[in-house]
Amino acid sequence: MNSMDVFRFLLALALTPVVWGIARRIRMPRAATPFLIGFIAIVVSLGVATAQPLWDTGIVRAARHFSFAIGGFGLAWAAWEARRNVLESTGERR
Amino acid sequence: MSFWSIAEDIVPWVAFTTAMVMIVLVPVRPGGAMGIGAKGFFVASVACYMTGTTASIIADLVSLPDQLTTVVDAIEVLRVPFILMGVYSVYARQQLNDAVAAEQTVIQTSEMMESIVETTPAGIVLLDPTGWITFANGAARRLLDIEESAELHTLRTWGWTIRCGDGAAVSEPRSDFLDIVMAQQVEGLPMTVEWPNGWRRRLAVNAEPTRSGDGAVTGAIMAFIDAEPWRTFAR
Repeated sequence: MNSMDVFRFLLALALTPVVWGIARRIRMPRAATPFLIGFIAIVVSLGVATAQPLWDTGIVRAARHFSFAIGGFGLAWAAWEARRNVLESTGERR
Repeated sequence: MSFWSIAEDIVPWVAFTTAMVMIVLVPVRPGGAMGIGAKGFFVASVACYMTGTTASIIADLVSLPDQLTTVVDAIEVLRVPFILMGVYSVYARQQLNDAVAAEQTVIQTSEMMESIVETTPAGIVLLDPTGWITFANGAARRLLDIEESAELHTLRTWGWTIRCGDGAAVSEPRSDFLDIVMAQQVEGLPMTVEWPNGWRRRLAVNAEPTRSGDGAVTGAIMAFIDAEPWRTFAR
């Protein structure tokens, strides 16, 4: 196992409760769920990437990239909802 | 190198590129939750992801030097901390916006109350525990013919004689009248104010003591109307 991968995963795991707690307190209900889905998917992808050298199969590699992609699309969706929230709160969009 | 190994790197790259575009499109508005700081942190985080996936795609095509791989690995460590800072920035900005909105509400309410107090035809005064007037609205200044003292930061009440409804004079500094308004809520209490030059005015007074958190009397608030509005100052 790559020590950098392990460090990244443990850091992400340690920060997860903090990110989760803060994200739940932000009043953007439509953005919170996709953000949390994306964030958890990123943490999962880091975990899979850390374990990949132990079980380097096609399924594990695909799971890593799939969860990574889910993380990216989750953040994109959350950003889209955040944009909508800002525009609606300023009255620029109904 | 195979088609699938490149394809499985391209899909996350497309995902994070989409995220980058979406984050850049979030407008920064006064009062909005997303500030320039939060946006910067999210952009930095997604940029770290894109660096990693781009390096991974390039590594599928050509071999990368070890130093570059180490640098990319180090950059990728910052991804989650940047997300944390972005989320915290959004939260902090939201709290700040709430505090500003609350302050604006307090200021507007205060200004509205000030307008009400100044425009009401009834005189309103605040008394300190010794009976000195510390605030008087416009009607009170007119009814009691008082002026503000810039030196004392209080209102002049020298030389008055205050008579209760039974006509008995009460003297400064404390009086029966003050004892009454400092002790309990009163309504329609008749009061006559006599000036040293003999002018006098009859008033109908509502009053209530003001108290601190521990219940100690800190003064009184007094509202009054002219009981004989058809009369000007009379001797």
